[in-house]
Amino acid sequence: MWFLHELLDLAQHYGVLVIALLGAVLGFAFRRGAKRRLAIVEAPTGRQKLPVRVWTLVAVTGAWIFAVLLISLVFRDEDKGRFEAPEIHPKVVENVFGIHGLSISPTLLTTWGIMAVLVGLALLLRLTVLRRMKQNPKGVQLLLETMVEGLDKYVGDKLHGMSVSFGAYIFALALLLVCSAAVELLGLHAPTADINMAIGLSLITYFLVNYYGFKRKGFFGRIKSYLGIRPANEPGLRCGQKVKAEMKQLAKPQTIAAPFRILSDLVVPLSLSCRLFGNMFGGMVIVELLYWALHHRAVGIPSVAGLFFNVFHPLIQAFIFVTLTLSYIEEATAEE
Amino acid sequence: MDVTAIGAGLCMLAAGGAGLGMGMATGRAAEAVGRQPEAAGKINSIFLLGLALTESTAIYGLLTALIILFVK
Amino acid sequence: MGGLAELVSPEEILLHILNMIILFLLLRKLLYKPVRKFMQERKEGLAASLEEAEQAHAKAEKLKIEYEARIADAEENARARALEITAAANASAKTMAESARAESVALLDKARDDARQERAKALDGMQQQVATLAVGVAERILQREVNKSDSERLAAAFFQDMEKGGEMA
Repeated sequence: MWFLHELLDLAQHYGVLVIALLGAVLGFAFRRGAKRRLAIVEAPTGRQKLPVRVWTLVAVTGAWIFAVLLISLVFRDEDKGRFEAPEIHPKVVENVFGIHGLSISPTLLTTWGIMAVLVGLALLLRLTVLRRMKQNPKGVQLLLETMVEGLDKYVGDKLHGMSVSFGAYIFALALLLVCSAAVELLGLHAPTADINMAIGLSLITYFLVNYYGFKRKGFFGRIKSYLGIRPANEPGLRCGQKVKAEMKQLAKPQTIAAPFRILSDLVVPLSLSCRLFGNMFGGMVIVELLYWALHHRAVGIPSVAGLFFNVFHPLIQAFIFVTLTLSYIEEATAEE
Repeated sequence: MDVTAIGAGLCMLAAGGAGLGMGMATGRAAEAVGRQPEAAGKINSIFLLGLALTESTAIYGLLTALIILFVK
Repeated sequence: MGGLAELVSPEEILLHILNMIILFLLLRKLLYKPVRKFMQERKEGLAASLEEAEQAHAKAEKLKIEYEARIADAEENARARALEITAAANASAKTMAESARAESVALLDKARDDARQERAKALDGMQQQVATLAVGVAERILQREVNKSDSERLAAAFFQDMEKGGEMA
């Protein structure tokens, strides 16, 4: 009776498959009927919505089991072994562009790809839309104008009197962060999940903070703001008297807080980069773990979880990055 | 026994504090919106900003754990 | 933490910063500035046209007030002229009425004179006939021929008595 074993095995596999397929199709059909019947009733109670929900559950479960079994039949089930996490420093790509001995990290390649796409899109828009701009915008022009105006208003809310170039920098930064979140959805290693990129971006921000701070307040003014000294601006004071008046303010207890303020100012680039890098890399690791844990059953579940980790979190982090940049610059240029 | 795993596990205790803080912030935000529903937009943006900043402490913990585990 | 230093390589950081700067410059030149310029122009154009519309509106209001004043003036003029004309018409009507009355009075007098003449003529004729009739009657009564001159003498005396008595109606 050896064939009974085989038959049982076969029945187990294909039987479940057929049952799952049947469940999916029937569930879908009955769900449609129940929905139509429900549409006539006004203000349905929970009890009346029950048939639709039951049939939805049956249909989705059936479809999922069917897809999983199909995949496991088509591709042989292998043991994945130890979990190979994505490297923090991604593997360097050798012999890029056919040039012997040139090795570039894939982050740079992805970044160049994103830049090419963005610049290509900008050129396209420049040549088609910007030529014939209408008074009442529609479609793509409306989208562009909304973005530019929204950003202008956001930057202008926090900081007044900034040059146009600053808004353009924020525009480029926001686009880069959003595009890298989109690239992660395609399965590539996101460029902002590289610690060098995150450090680079936060260094630019730190440079901008210092630049605007020094421009607005002057070199000594900045140091004085660390020490908590209000600038003595009464007219008629000569230089020596002004210095004395300001030195007198050092006798307050807020002078002790000066080193902490300097330290927290130095920590700014570190915290920005770590926040960005940690979020992106952590999201990637979690989704990879999910894919590894469900070998062939990874149908639909990682995409739902990936929605949270690969779409929501990166976008929020992009928004936070931009907001924090503006906040730090505002703090550095605030008049006391 | 791999001690690095224990170290990495200990790092993730930072997430506890972050979760507590974010839960309290959410509760206060919900209360504020219930008290004055017209300010829901502003409360929303302040709330999201605070959440992201608080979450960064948990992310620092995660980062340290990852570095301990994966950097040889 | 020796492995950590391998992660961070300054050359890559520099490259990334350069990438970011290039992206920023390109996007600013291609998209940001033209869109912003267009939006500014449109806002200015709208503001200018709004101002123009307001000016035209103010001008129209002024003109309207002017025209209304002028219309009121014209109405008053018309009213005064109407009063004048009615007065003149009344006066002329009065004179015409008076002249008509005078004419009618004259006509009436003339008619009365005419009627009197006719009456006198008729009276004379009737006198002759009545005299002849009376003589005939008297002849019959007297049965004799009466003298023509006697008869005429009698008739004249009869009529004088009648006229003394009163007008013959």
